[in-house]
Amino acid sequence: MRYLGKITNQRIVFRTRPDPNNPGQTQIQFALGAGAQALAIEGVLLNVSIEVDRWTAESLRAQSLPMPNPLPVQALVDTGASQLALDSTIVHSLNLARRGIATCDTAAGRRIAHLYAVSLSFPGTDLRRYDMLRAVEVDLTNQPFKCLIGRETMANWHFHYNGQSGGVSISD
Amino acid sequence: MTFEEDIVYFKSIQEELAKDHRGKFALIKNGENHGIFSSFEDAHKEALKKFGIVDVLIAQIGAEQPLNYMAMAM
Repeated sequence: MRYLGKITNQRIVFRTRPDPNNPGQTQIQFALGAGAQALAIEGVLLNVSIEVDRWTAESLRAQSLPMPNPLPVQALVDTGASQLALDSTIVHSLNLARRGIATCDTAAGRRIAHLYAVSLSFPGTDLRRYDMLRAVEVDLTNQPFKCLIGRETMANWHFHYNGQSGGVSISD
Repeated sequence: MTFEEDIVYFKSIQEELAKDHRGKFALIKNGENHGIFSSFEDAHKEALKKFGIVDVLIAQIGAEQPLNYMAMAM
């Protein structure tokens, strides 16, 4: 298998405690097992960039209209999600035009969600960029992440999850 | 016509379109079908060319399979 891009995320967690040998000072220790714990609690979080899709960007350029800035956000890799999903704040910030609707089965029942076109990239990694992906709008208000990466994107990945060490490796 | 009215319009013609175009994508705007496309991306490009950056309905014909977001309450 030939990998075009790769990201490896090994969580390293440190703990601080008062230094018993130097009163008033703090000791920093590598917390064995804490990376695995963090991964189990938070899930697989990646830094991604969301932008208008390639064709909308071309249209904006052709009309000399302002281009919305790419939005750097945290994304959760969600094997329970069919395709890319974005929080409403991203949809509004990028001023996205609706491209349709999607029927979505969720834990709370069936919902109709608006559909948009965006581009997705993974800054600081070699993972490939997606110039045009369909994304549904969801409410992630109370979540630390503003994007769900679903199986449509994961279909291009070799994804390794090591729950024991807290490491994740993705290549495409 | 509004985006919501275009959804109603698409639902009214979907069965007829499905006879010949199941799985393809219809571009609907202002209560009219502006073409059938093999991919969402092709319909999206055509929508930008015809209407600019505005809401349009790109609907897959006869697609009854819902998306899953099983961890979400949405």
